[in-house]
Amino acid sequence: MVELTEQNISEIEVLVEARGVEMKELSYDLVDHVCCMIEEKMESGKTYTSALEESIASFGKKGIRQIQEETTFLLTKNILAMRKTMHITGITSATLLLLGSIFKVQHWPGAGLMYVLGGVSLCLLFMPLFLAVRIKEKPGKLSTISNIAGILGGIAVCLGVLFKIMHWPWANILMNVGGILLIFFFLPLYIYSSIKTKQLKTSTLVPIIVAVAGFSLLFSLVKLRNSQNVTDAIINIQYTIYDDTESALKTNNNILTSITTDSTNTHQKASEIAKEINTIANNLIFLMAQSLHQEIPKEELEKTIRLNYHSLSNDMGDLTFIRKDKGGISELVTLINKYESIYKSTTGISANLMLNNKNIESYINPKNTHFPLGIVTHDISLLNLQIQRLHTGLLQYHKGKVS
Amino acid sequence: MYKKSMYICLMYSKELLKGTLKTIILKMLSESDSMYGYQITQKVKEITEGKINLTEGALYPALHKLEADGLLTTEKKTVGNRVRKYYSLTQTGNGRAKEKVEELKEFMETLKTIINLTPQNLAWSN
Repeated sequence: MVELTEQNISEIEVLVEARGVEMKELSYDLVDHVCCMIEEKMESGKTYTSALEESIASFGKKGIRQIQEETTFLLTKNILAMRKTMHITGITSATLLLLGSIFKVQHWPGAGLMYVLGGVSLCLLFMPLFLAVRIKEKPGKLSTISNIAGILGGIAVCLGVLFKIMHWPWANILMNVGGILLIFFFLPLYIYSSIKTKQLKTSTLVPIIVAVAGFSLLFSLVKLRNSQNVTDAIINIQYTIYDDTESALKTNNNILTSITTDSTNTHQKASEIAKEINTIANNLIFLMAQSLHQEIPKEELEKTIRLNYHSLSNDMGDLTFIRKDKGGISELVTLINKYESIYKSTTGISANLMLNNKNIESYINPKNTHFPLGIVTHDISLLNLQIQRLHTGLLQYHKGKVS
Repeated sequence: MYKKSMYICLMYSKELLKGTLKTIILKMLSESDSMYGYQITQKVKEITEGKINLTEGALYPALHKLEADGLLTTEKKTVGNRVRKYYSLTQTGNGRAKEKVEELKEFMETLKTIINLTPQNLAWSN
């Protein structure tokens, strides 16, 4: 009875694997089969080398690989329809997302709709189908758990990005949950099963590296802040606005008290409006910050607006917070217009502050729901400063007339 | 070239064997407790006196498909320094083996009536 040595067998294993057999279960069968063939030939007097050559040659040039393809085909035949649907939904959602981003960049209408349709079909059709196909193709407890974790994580991250684009709530939570599922559940399971089946090769390592690197980059991109220099410059500008407004208010107060008599009293009326503008502007900035930071107590947030402007400026604030009948953004605009008309009738100069600030229109237009907090804060506080400065001029004009 | 050799059998064409492959495998396994792949090919060759020669390219995909369908189960044993997979019928596999064999028998009978058709029979039936 001829028996092959361990060395012979590992040589045969390498040969079978080199011919493209990746299915472990099939490779056991084939290695044993080839061994049996060789042993039979050796028993009839052939040498190991020639028996090996003959046996391998009897499969034909691509024969061994063909066996695996035939096996995979037989095993996956019944999920062909499912695969087809998966491919169609995958291509559709990818196309919609691509078109959506082109439309978004070009500011054409319909971008949002395409994002939603593409994202929903990606997350709720393509990914679940992909999961079903994966489970059917690779049954087994471990791979099923890792597949479920991977696909759920993928769905959560994709939905999170979609929600982020659409400025819907829960975006950050979805992305974080997805990230945790992917990095702490899917990845270890995937690596573990790869090691267990001895398939940890370049072909499995590359997707892992790409996935980790890609997710880290995406994560940092979402959480990214401006560079320190830019941030410092923005903070300086904002502080200057606040400081200048304060000093203008002080100056105005001083001048106002020094004007004793004024037959028309127009400056009194203008002063009232200027003060109200200051109050409403500060309140609007506070409300806008509150829309993003409802967890911070009111008193603390009021301090934070001044001290830590930078930490509040990155995200999108909710414009509905500053749209109200009394003391809202519309009232601010009305008051500014009112002040400007008084200013013009007194000095003969049109200020036209609104013309220089196109953003204000977007804050009032109900079509927009969110806007970067930093920009809203900047716009409102700058308008306030401009009004207070105009008022300084107006008061000085009156003072000059009186004295 | 290799595609042709996938279902090699010495006497019968690939098409003839293809439809009966699963039945042959199930029948072979129902005759013994468990068998490994090479053993099945040798046994079939021996019984049919070399007239039917199952190739690896036909046998293993079919075995894996039958296993995935729950008709077969495998057991790994270390034999001669390597892993050998023994295939055996499950309970459903046993039932299916009987059904399949019966079906094939009936089919062979039906085929016979067609094959034995003579011009007289044809004329009579007209």
